[in-house]
Amino acid sequence: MGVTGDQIAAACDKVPGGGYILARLDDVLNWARESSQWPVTFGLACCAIEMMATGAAHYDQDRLGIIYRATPRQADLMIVSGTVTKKMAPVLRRLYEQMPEPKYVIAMGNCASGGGPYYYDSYNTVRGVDLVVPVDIYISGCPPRPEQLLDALIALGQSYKKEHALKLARG
Amino acid sequence: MTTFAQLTHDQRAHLTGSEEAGGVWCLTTDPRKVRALLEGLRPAFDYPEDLTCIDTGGELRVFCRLWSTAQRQAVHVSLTIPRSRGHLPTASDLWRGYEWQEREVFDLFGVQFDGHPDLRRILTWEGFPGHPLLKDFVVDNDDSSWEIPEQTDQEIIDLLSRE
Amino acid sequence: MPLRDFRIPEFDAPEVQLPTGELAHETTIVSMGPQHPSTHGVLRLMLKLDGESVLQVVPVIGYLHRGTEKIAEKRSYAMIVPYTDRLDYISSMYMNLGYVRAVEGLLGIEAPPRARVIRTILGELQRIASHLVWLGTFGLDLGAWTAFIYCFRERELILDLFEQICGARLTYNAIRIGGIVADLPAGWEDGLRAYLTAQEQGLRDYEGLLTGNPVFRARIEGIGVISAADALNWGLSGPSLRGSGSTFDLRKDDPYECYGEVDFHVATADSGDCLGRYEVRIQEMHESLSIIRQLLPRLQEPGEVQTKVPRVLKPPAGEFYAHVEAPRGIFGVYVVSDGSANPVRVRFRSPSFANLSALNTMCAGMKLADVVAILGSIDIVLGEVDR
Ligand code: SF4
Repeated sequence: MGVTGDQIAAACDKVPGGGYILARLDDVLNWARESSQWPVTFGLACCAIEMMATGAAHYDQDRLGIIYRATPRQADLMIVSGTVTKKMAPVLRRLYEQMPEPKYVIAMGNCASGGGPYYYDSYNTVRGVDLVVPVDIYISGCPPRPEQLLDALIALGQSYKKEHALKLARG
Repeated sequence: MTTFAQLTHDQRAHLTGSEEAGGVWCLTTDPRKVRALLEGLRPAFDYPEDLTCIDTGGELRVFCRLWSTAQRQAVHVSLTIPRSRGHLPTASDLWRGYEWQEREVFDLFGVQFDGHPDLRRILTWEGFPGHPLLKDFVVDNDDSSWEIPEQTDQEIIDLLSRE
Repeated sequence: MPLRDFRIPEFDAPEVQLPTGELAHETTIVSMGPQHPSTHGVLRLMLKLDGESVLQVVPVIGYLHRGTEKIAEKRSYAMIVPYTDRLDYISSMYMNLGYVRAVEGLLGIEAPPRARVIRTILGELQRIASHLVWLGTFGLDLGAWTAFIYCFRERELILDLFEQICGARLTYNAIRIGGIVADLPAGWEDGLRAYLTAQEQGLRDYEGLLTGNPVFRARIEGIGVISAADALNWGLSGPSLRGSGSTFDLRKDDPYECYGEVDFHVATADSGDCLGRYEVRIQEMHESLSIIRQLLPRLQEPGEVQTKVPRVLKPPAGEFYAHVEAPRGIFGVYVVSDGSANPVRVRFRSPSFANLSALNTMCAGMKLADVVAILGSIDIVLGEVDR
């Protein structure tokens, strides 16, 4: 019986008490990665409050296995939630470099995506975090609604499926 | 209970103008007299509400607002200084709250406060080119770099290493 | 059967050699932030430590300095309102209010009575929402996870009410020059009543979780004491000042909108420590609920919510200073006009900036772990510290 990545969880339920399941290692690893995305706790500005709201009672992102880690060394995802200033940019870059591979970046909100309301006439903002770190997903909105953030996180999880986790681990 | 008439009478030597507008007492003075004026205001006006600067194009106007919690009265003190190399005596020893406010005015407008205990840049970083809130500081809207000079912590470490 | 006799074997502990000479008074410099879970954003603290004791704290700010005041010089008066939302993004309504009042003062106009009632209600709702975020994160800083979840539960109810008025959850742009964006939607009052009931239960819940909790109290009692005289001298305001016993509150001392017409008392505490500031905020939430209840009947009176203002605002040359009691303290806005469509200068006096400047004084003689508690208790928002 062939089991593809999507069906692993269901297959495990069907085999109580153990047994063997044959699956591609990539599928298993990607399934594990998808269901435990750990972003680094890193709030920059207003959007961070919506990020907090996503983590709290009403939107409850814990149910998707998304748990904030306070240190970049244990995180595999960075949600850049807010305006990046020139003073902050080197710090952000360093944080990104401290995260272990494979790592992903979500630019949350207009500011992080492209400068947002601070694009014109501001002497201290970086016009988009993609000038500092590579970005995987952009979310528009000022601030984006928590539903949008959840959508982005789920989309990112789906995109893992196309990757070869083993190759990524080898670097 | 001080009244406007009494205050302007007591402080007349340190004033160059005074008016009462909308319940606020507005006093104008000049850089040499401001210190004596503020010392005179200190006992009655115990709350340092605001301190800032306005670039009117020709010169800089430094503006400070004090509040009396007992009398529920605000007083505005303002004076003008030349645009470049403006000097003022500090008020941070009278009201500690002005310590950071003066740093901010120094950072954004380049006004020097003589006698300030720790006059460093506060919002921008050490080595930032120019003073951004001056009218002749032009923002490059097409600038899409984030390349900035190396920021060091040396100033802070020096400060902390002082006894 | 007798319990086995555990005899501790004789044991000569080697004498611990305490460092002497140079090493005994060696100090360490620690950098905390800008990415730190309990600095509430992008604050950085440089700490000078002697072991665990804090000798000096130097806050390093500016990591969120977006140049709002410079941008404001290039915008028309109405276009600045959305930027004020993003100063103190936890209490955007109040930032709107402060700025709008300054422009109204410059123009010499006033909002119609119905708009003033609604503004006051929105302001108090915002105060509760802001204190809820504070309470949740303050608990989080001290290791109490549960309160955070509870606080955000009720905060969502307030955000729903705001959303019905202006469509946004966080950055409202709801209070406009000369009034508010639109009249209340149908059924809003019923929603408000339902919320008030839920919030009263909510307040009991949080207090049950935190106020009597011995672990929580041990972390905040007697920590970060500042006297009322010192607090005034440092320019502290809001709950951080009233926690030291001062009754300075602009809602009473310089009433605006409808605060002169409602009956409430200014919450204070005498201890001046983190517990005092905590108690003040909890009491303030109760007071806010009572203010809203008093204003509820006045929502029945119909009326305009917006005075006529010209499409392009050109206030006469002059200046105006308006200040309001925002959830974190005195938010002052100073607008200077030269008669053209753009202001010459807009200055925002931010309460958190002043409150943060006194951090070193409050931390004198405290331990490293207390710094987190003190920082949490003064409730800063970096958007407004850095502007
Ligand atoms: S996108 Fe809007 S809400 Fe988000 S950080 Fe920027 S200004 Fe704030």
